[in-house]
Amino acid sequence: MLKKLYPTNVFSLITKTINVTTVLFLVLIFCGLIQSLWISPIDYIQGDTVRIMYVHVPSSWIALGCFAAIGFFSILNFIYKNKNFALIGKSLSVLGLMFTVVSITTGSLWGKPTWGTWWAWDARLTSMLILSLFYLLYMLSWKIISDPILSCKISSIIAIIGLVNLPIIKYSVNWWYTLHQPSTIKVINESTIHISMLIPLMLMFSALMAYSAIIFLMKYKIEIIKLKNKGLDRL
Amino acid sequence: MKNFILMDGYGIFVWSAFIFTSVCCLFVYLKTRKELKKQEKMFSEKVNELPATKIAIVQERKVEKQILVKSSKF
Repeated sequence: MLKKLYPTNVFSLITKTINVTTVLFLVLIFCGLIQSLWISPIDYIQGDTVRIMYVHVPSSWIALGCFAAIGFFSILNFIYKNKNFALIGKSLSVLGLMFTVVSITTGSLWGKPTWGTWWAWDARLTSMLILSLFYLLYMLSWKIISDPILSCKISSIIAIIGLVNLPIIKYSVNWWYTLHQPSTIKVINESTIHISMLIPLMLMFSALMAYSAIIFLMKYKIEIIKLKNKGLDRL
Repeated sequence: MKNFILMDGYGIFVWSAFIFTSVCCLFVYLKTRKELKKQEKMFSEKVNELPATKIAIVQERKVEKQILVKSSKF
């Protein structure tokens, strides 16, 4: 089963998937932008600032999802000692960091007109900042440590420790009194968001997911080529 | 149109958020594409430096062959 997912076996599939996903991304982002900037209604309290939600919320979800995936693959790497899992994590890290920065910045741009401040040291904002620090540490450990086995181990440890921060981010708005509003979209309970706002949100989320898939596959391809490059020395 | 851009005075915040996200996405995409092309080119150059017998071995391999086809397009 695992052999089917080896870089050598999926390489040709990566190029084809990138092409298909690029077309999908362009369609989704076009529809998503029209919906979120033009068609979707304004909020009766927040007015037009609610439109920031269409980039802020998907960015936050992807930032959290990427780190959860990095942590998961780091655990698998420890169990199965398979370098492929570490490569997947490494390929996801740039995306995760970028979306964390986008989430914090767009959140700040939303916070100023809504709360009257760009930044507050509240639980949700601070835990997101901590997430960005974990991403930086994870990426630095790959970059700074020259021994590949050691860098793989250290980065995996950082990712596993960082997993503790994810439930803190998710439940910070419930556990503490924060400026940040509680979640309006729930998986288990009924969501409190209106369908006219849910459609553009889901379109933008799908578009950014397609974009993430493109970048991840390109990064993963780079890692495979780097491996093949090293393999040439052993010929 | 004016209303669409100004958004009742909140336009600066909304447009800044969308533009910042777009710039970040575009920057990461271009940087990744550049790195991919660089790695493919490096691989191709390294293969060309190999003796003919070893080049034949590399060209027989599935993934290596695909990288070489891709890098020859630039």
